[in-house]
This record gives sequence, C-alpha cells and structure tokens, in this order.
Amino acid sequence: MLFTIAKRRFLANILTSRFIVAAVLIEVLFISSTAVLIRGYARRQQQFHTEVQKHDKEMSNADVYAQLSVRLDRPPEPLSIFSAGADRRIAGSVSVAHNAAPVMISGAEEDNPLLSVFSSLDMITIIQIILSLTVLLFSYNVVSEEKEKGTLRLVFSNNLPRHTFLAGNILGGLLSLFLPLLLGFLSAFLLAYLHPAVQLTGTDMLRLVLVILAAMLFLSVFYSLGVLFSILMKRSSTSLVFLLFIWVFLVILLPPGIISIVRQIKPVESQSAIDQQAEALRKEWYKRMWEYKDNHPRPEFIGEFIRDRYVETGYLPYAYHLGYAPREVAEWLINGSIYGHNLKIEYEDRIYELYHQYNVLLYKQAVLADQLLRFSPSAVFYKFACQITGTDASVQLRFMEQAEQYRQRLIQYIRNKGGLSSYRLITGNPPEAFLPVSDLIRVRDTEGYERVKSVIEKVYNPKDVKPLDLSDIPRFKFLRLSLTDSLNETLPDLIVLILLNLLLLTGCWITFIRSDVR
Amino acid sequence: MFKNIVIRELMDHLKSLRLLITFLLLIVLMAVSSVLFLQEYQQQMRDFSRNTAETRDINSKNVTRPAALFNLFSYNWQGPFVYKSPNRLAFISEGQEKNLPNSFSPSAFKIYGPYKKLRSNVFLDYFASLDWALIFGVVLSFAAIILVYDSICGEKEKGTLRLAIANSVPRSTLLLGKFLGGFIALAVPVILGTLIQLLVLILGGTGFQSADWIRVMLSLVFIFLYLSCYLMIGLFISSRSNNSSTSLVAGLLVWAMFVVVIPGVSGMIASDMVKLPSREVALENAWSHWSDVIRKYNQENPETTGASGHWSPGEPLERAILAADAWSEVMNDFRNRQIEQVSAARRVTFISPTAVFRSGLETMAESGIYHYLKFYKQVVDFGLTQRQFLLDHYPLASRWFFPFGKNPSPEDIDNYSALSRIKISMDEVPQFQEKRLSLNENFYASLPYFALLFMFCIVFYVAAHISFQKYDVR
Repeated sequence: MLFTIAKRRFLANILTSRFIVAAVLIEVLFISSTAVLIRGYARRQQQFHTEVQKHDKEMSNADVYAQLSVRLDRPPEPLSIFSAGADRRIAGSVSVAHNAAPVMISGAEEDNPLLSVFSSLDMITIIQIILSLTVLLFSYNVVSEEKEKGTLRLVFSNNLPRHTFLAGNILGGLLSLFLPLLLGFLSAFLLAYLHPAVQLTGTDMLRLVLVILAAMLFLSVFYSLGVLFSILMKRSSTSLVFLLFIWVFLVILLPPGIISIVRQIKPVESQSAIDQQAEALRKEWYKRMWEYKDNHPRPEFIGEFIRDRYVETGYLPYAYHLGYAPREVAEWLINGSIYGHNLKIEYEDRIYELYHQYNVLLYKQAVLADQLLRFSPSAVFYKFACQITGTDASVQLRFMEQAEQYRQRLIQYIRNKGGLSSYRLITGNPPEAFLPVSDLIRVRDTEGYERVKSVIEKVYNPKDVKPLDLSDIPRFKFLRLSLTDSLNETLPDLIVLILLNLLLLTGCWITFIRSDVR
Repeated sequence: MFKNIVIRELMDHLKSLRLLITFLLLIVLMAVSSVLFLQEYQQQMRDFSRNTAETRDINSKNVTRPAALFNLFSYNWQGPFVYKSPNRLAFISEGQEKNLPNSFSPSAFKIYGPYKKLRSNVFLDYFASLDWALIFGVVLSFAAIILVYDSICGEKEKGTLRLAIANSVPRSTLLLGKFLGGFIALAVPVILGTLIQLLVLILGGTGFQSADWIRVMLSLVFIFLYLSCYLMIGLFISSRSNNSSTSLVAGLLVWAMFVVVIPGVSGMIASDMVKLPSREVALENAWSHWSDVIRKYNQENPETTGASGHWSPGEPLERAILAADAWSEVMNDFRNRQIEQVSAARRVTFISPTAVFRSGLETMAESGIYHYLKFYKQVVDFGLTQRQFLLDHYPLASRWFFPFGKNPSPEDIDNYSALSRIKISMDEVPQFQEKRLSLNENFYASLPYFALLFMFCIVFYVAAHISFQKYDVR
C-alpha cells in the first residue's frame, strides 16, 4: 500500500504542467550556470599554469639570496564549477621571501575587487533557492488539498494506517522532486566530465555524492515543512502563504540579518588598524637600522665606482644586490645587510603573527555567524557544500598558514647555503675581490676612468653573472583538506540537517495522527 | 465604479493573511535594520576619523622634516591613504560597500590602489546588508506577486470574474482597480516601516540634512514604481493563467529569475565580456613603461644616470613626472577597465526590474559602485592638485639635477642644500575631502533608472492589459 500511495503522489506531481515548467527551468539553470563556471575555471586553470611557469622563471633569475623571492600559487578548486563558494575571491597567489611574510588578509589582490558586488550562480545556489521554492510549491497542499476535496475521508474509510498514507505521500513527493535534482546534476556533471580542462579525481566524485546527499536532506527539510503546514492548516492557500513567507525569511533574509548582527556583537578591528601596527613594526626595524648605521658610519662613497647596488636608501647599509663597490663600501654593505636581513626576519615573523592573529579573529567571527546560521537550513546546506568541495573561505587561512610554513623552510634553506651569514646574501664576490677606494682613485687619476671600468668588469660583468643554483630549493604545493578532515568539519551541519528532518517528520506524524480528516 | 472596485480589492487584501504577514515582516525588518545601521554607521565614522587623523599625522610629520617637499610627495614612494567617507544614507542602499575597496594612496606622481581597509571579513560570505534595496527589493516584490497572483485567474475559478464582467465595467477599469487596490494595500506597510525607521535614525542621532530628506522622498518614489512593476507582473501572469496554482508557480519562478538568477549570472558573464589582465601583469607592464621612460631620459641626458629614478633630492623632477605619467597611463587604464567590466555586468542585469531598482537606489543614496566611481574621480583630481602644489613649491627648474658621483659646481651645491631648506606649512598642504554630489547631480544621475523602471511598468501594464482584454472569463 505504501508504494501504491507513493507511486500515486509521484505520478500526480510529475504529470502536472507546473512540474514540467519547474523541471525544465532547473535543468536549464544547472546546465547554463555550470557551463559558465567551467569556462571561468578553465581560464583560471590556464592562468595558474602560466603564472607558475612565469614565477619559476622569475625566481631562477636571482643571483643573490637577498633577491630570492618566491611566488606561491594556489590552483583553482575543480569542484568550484559546482559550488563556487569563495574560491574566486580568495587569494590565488602570494609572494614570500625571507624578509617578506605572507600577510594578505582579504583577496585584495583579486583582479577586479569591484566584481564582489555580484554573487555567482552555481548548482548550490540553484538548489538553495529555486529547488527549495519548488519543493514548497509541491508540498503545501499534500494533505490540505485532499481534505478540501473530501478525498481524505474516503481514503481513511479503507483500512489504511495514517502513517502509511503520510509516508507514502512524503516518499512519492520527494522522489518526484529528486528527479529534476538528479537530472540537473547528472547533466552538469557530464558537462564537466567531458571538458578537457576539468580533471575530477575519485575523491572529488565522492565529495560530489556527499553534496547531492546533503541536497536531498536539505530539500526534504522543506518538503516536510510543507507537509507539516498542509496538515496544520485547513486551507491550502493559508498553508502556502505561511510557507512562502517562512521561505523568504529563512533563505533570503536570515543569512544577511545574522551576519549584520554578528558584525555588531563580535566586532573586529578594521584592517587599517592592523596595517598601522605592522607599519609601526617596520618603522622600529628601520630605527634599529639607523642605530646600526650610527655605530657603523658609511665609508667614503664615490658613485662612479659602484655597480648595480639596489638599496632602500643609500644612507643605510641594507642592500638587496651589489655588483661592485670599493672594498670598504662592500664590507660595510655586506655586514650591514647580514645584520639587517636577519633582523628583518625577526620583524617579519612578528608582522606575520600580527596578521595571523587578526585572521584568526576574523575567522572566529565567521564561526559565530556559522553557528547562528544553523537556524537557516539553506545556510547550513551552503556551508556544508562549500566545506566539502573545498571552496569555503577558510581555504584562505590555510593558504596563508602553508605559505608561512614554506617561508620558514625557505629561510632554513638560505641559512644552510650560507646566504644569511656571508657575502652571498647580496653579492657574488667576496669583499677581497673588490679594490679599496684609495686604489680605485689612484687608478682613475693615473690611468683614467676607462681603466677603472675594466678593473670593475674583471670582477663584475652583468653579462657573466650566473644565477643561484636553486635545484634543491623546497617546492610549494598547496594541500587541500582531506575528505576525512572535511567530513569532520562538516559533520555538525550534516547532523543539523538530519535532526531537522527527524523533527519535522515526527511533527508531521504527530499532527497527522491527531488531525481531523473530515 | 472604479472607486468601488478599488475599495473592494483593498478590503479583500486587508482581510488577507498575506498582507498581515507582509505587514509584520516589513515592520520588523525595518526596525531591526535601522538599529543595525545606526551601530554600523557609528563604527564606520569612528574608523574613518581615526584613519583620516592618521593620514593628517603622517603629513604633519613629513612637513616638519628636512626636504619637506620630498617627504610629502615622493620620498616614501607611496603617499598616505585617503578614505571613502561613510554614507549616512546607506540604510537606503549600502551597495555592498563593505566588500568594495575604500581607499587609495595618491601622491603628486602616482595613485596606488584601490585598497580594502575596512572591517570586512573574507571569511564571512558576501551577503547584502539589510537595507531598503534588500528589504523592499525582495520582500515587496515577493509580496506583490503573492498578493495578486490569483487576482484574475482566482476570480475566474470562483466564477466571480464573469459576474463582474457581466456588468458594464470595462476590463481596463477592472484591471486598474485591481492594481490600485493592491498598490494601496502594500504602500501602507511601506510607509509605516519607513516612518519607524526614520524615527529610530533621527533619535539615534544620524544628522540628516534637508537634501537627505528629498533623497529619501525620491527613494520612496522609486519604491512605489518598483512595487507597481511587480504588481503589473503578477497581474500579467494571472491574466495569462487559467488556474491560480499555475499562476503562482509561474509568478514565483519569474520573481526568482528577476531577483536572484539574473543579478547572479551577470557577474560571471561580465568577466567574459570585458577582458582584464591580471593585476600582477598590469603592474609589471606599468613598471616596465616606467623603466623605459627612465632609460630613454637617461640616454638623452646621460649625466643624470645613477640615481634611483624615483624622486629623491637631486634627481630631476621632470624625469620623475614623465616616468610616473607612463606608469599611471597603464594603471589608470587597468582601473578604468575594472570599472568598465563591472559596468558591463550591471548593464546585463538591467533586464531585471530588481537590478534597475537596486542601481537606482544606489545612485540616489550615492553608494556602492556609483560611490566608488565618484570617489575614484576625486582621488585622481586630488593627485593633480598635489602635482600642481609640488610644481608651485619646487624652487628649481624641473630639469635640474645634482651630478652624483661627479664634481658638483658651487651652484649645484647651493641648489642641493636649498632643497632641504624648503619650508611648507601644514595649512597649505592639500587635504583630501570627499565631496558628495549635489541633489541636482544625484537626481540627474538617477533619472535613467527612473525612466527604465517606469518603462518596465508601462510594458507590463500593456502586457497585462492586452492579456486581460483577450482573457476568456468563463
């Protein structure tokens, strides 16, 4: 009997014109949004590969350790074509060096921050909004319509238990509504699977299956809610009005409302306040460099004896590169730079910690919002989908943490090579290779400046400079959260969805067995 | 007769549960949003004051240092930040400003930025604020569809439509009566909600000026036009359907398309329409242009070679300006293309009345992208003002340079030491003060949105009228 009722409800739903309209619309939206997202993903993927090659090449140009800066790239998430989440707006790459910690707070370096005024339409948003609305439109009158038509009393004049009737209607209704979901998903999946730029692994597919299961749970929450109201209300129209307003409240208004409230009850400092604190630290480092300089005055400085000296200011012994300089200047710069770069590492560590703590505060604010957003099933489903597919914003935090870990490995690598304790930090030649200033002056005054040039070129000729051997430099690879870890993080959301289903189904059952079927 | 129809419709709506829920929802949302806005605005004002004070501090320290002109404009290569001011009309439309850049770093040479230096949180998802654009944009349009989806087909089902038409009532009068009945029914909660919100804001100390009141009134006109538009859409769909359930499904799907789908897809489509290089590539390109100019200048003036190319004391001002202009040309083009990309995305959304409504309110409240554009233009102008100030106060010829590493003449030594003696008073240093648009400018800027929304109303009215004229009332 259960299956007869389920079959009846299933057919009653799928044979209506409104079902066909809704199903076609959902199919079109699934396919078109996935197609647009695949295109965007393919472009970002190509850009990622180009950037990686370019950054490798840039890195290999460095001929001294002070110039060694590594650009770390995060590949776009393949599952973002189904669940866009925050993948596009969080940082795709960040530069690190021994004297530059990764400190990006927001995706400030995204190519066009103005596009953040638009939300993106993906499979998850379509399920969240269009499918949940469709589910309500097919569930608001499951019981009340039969009551209005008088068929309910006829049904129960037979030997039919109420729970069988209820279960059959819920089962049939849900199956009919899972049909456009599964069809839409399969079309979108095929589109992605056949595209050469999209490489989905077995784990990715497992993640997608979990998203679809969560989508089913999410939709059944709204279906059960619809059935509950159709039992509680005598008239279908009253049930529909209540349900639609509940839907607008839960799906459209509650998430921004809760986020606005959380921003007020758990405020965090503005980014400019943190920037100012970081700036104060940089100034402190600068001050200490001036103190160092006061104790180590600059030797006689004659510009025409100096080649390829890259500095922040010529008054400080802090250089990034030195081609040639009189021996006294070279020694002053090498010693000062060894002191300055090592000191800078300490300060950059502190700056990283400052930004990291700020990021953690921001993250805690978001966690509070997530906890409150559990009142909205649509927000719970969205969060679950983003976390399982690896497109939630916490990826940014992990990216920055992994970038800093890489920076520490890079510092160790440079130390092991003697790059932070010897002339190799800023120049390819030991100071003994450079002539003292008095000798250079003598050569200039006796043999002319052309002779000085040839003396310099013997030691340093930009054309002969060999880049550093970086064959054993540590490589960076962004590590995604494993499926087990993702599941651990999203388990509360899944439990919330299951609990809501159980609560609503129990509610339906209790109200239905107590309701008057006449 | 018309009056009777309107009163009958109005009474029907007033007794309906749909209007009661709409009423309660709007009142609660408006009250909550006004409290949230007050706190957010006060916080923004505190941040803004602190940030601008910081900028002023940096400038006042710079003027007291030796070579004040260099410290002010170029010595640190990047000038202090200027900030977009908080908007006291953001309760009308916040325009996602919390996710948009709010700062630039302009100097007499270049403009760096835009930067996001606010309390935004990348970990929080980009949800819109609870402003009029969201509350009315979503709830009012939704309520309009829900209120009138069965106005025509529902009466047909009940059999009352044929009775009404059996009298000497023109169909157009009946349609207008139904529209007006629905309009008045929904206008009441809009007005009440608005009054409650304004009261909370006034008591909370938001200093409204007289022009702000006119902006609020004009925004209300926008809201009423928007409401009319969705009532017409609801009536059109109702007059195309034979039963109310089909009308409701169609109405809600159209609503979801206009309110959610179209504004959502446009951002993705726009990135394909206007190609934009990555920020990294644009910056590389700008610096490469900068180096080319320096190299060329140094080739033409070999005696200047050896200095940084920026503008430290002794380097030729002319070279720094030429190089900075080459840099700016690339970066200004990049920023303009960012704006073009987002404008193209906006234009795509204008097939939805909700998107037009949101853009209209943004223009009226001077928020969102519109605010950013105005702010950016003022920053560019401020850069030019700083440039002029620098040229006016630089005591030497712009081609003059100090022969580093060579034997300087006594005149060069005099000039060089004169640079460190330049005195500038903090009062004469140009300060950035963002100017808001005048009411007239605001009004003219929002006219196209008025016109578009009005056009939508006319189109849907004509469509509903034609459908109803042809409608089989039996």
